[in-house]
Amino acid sequence: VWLVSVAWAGLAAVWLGAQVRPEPAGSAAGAMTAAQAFLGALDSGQLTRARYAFGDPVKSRWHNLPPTMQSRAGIGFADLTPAQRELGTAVLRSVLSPYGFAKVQAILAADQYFGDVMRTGGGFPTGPNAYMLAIFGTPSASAPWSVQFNGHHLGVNVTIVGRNRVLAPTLTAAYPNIYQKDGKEIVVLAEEAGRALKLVQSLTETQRPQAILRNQTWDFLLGPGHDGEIIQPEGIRGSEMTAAQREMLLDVAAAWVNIVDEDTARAKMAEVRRSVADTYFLWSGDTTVLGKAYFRVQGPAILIEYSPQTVNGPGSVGFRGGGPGRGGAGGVANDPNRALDPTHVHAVYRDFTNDYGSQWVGAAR
Amino acid sequence: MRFRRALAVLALTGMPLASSVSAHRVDEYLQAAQVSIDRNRVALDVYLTPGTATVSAVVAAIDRSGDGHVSADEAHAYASAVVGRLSLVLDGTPIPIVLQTYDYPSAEALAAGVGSIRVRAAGLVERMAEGEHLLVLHNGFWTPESVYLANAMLPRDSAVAILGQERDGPQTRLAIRYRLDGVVPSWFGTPRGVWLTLGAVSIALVGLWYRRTITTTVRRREAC
Repeated sequence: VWLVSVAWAGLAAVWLGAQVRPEPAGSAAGAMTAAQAFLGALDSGQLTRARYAFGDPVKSRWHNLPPTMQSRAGIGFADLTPAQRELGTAVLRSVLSPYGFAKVQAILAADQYFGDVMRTGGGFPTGPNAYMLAIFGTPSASAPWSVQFNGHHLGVNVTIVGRNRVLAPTLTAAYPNIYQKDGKEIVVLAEEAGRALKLVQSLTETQRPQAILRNQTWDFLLGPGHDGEIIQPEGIRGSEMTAAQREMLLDVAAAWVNIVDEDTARAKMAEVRRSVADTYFLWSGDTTVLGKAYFRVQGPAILIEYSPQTVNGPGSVGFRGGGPGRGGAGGVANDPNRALDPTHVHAVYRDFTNDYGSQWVGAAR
Repeated sequence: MRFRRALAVLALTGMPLASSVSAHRVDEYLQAAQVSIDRNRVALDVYLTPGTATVSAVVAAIDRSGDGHVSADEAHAYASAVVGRLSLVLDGTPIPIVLQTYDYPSAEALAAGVGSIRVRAAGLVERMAEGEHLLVLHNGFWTPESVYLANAMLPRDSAVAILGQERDGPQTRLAIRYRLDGVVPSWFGTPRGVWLTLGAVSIALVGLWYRRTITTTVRRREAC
């Protein structure tokens, strides 16, 4: 009887061990301290705009639009003192990797460039002070809480539950994503497209029909406002790629996964690698030029959509009067020859199994 | 109603609010259709997003009276018009589509070229047989500025498996091949289902054993 009991206990322990997901070792304490310092520096009026209940539905109102055009959660950096801004920036830095923080800064700089150089006439505030920071829940070592940093072309959502973190859903976008400043070429969200272009160019004639959609894809499908939706995967599956191509696919995924702090990103990449055989890659558009195509990476626990916009490209209003078939006067919008604008891109990153930490939140309550 | 007031402003001013934004959809009217299939129902979601240069025409099409206000009837009529131009054909047989709900975005989002009108409809089907099926969606809600997307959603019903999607060039037509497997109770395969199944099997075995024992006992008595 004892032997059987011990054997059963051993089997149960092995089974339970297999069920436990490895926890990323993100520095929860660092993020918690940074968020507490930020909230502690706000006056009561500011606090009501910066802090929300963890489950407040306003969390899902992150958007690609500037905050002046679409309301959302958070206190604007423009409404903070320089010292408070430093503390707000420290919150962001505490939940992102140096790579992710640099990417965020590059998106803000592109927005500043757009406002200062490209735009004529009125509009909306641009640059780093035009973004909103919100803390959902109480920064804690065990209870769920989250950081949202949101504004034009950027929506970062990091949910923290104990030692676990997730960066999803997150929007990265830029316009312009390639520009000259002080004699230097600044590139934002273009290197990512380069990784995907490398993958599509590596595909054989047999693989290409599986991976490349014949149709134009006009926008991403699961951007802001599409929480909880899952599209049917399409494209070529990781299991149908060579080992080298699978590495390229992982390289594309890493461009978004690595935005979050390094420990969390490492754990997430391990998860993506484990399911790479079931991860699909879809391409729609030009396979020869950088940034003129939509692409999608979709696996059991990851979605990336990268979508150049048609606005301001040939065929848009600014180019009316262009040649036939370009959507100019008398042309039609639904013209397969309409070009995408490689300098204006939107991308969304999701985790179908864990957007907003849904996987952990129930267990933590 | 805030939306009505703001739409009125857009309709009356001709709407070029966001031309200075230069940041989002401009001269297109994006119609993104999503098709969700389960064993006895097809759900359709159409997201209609007018670009900044097309929104005034869209608003005019909604505000049929031209009074600068979108009444509930006008909002319903526009959604009905969208659904009226959709068709679904399942295995060669047209199936009726009914409008279920619709939502209109804030006028500011609409004006900026990112606000979507969401129209939800349902295709009414009899209980489908097991095996392969072909469902064809056609979106005939045409305007000169329209561009289209059409996609199947990942089925929530584990009995349904999408086998392939075929689109025409403009994506006004989407053909979805899918397979409906044997329909099993939703709890089957879950831990609860495993325990219930084990329990049922155990009870059945005990029942069989009891019946056999009784039968044997009766036979012995008869033999005696």
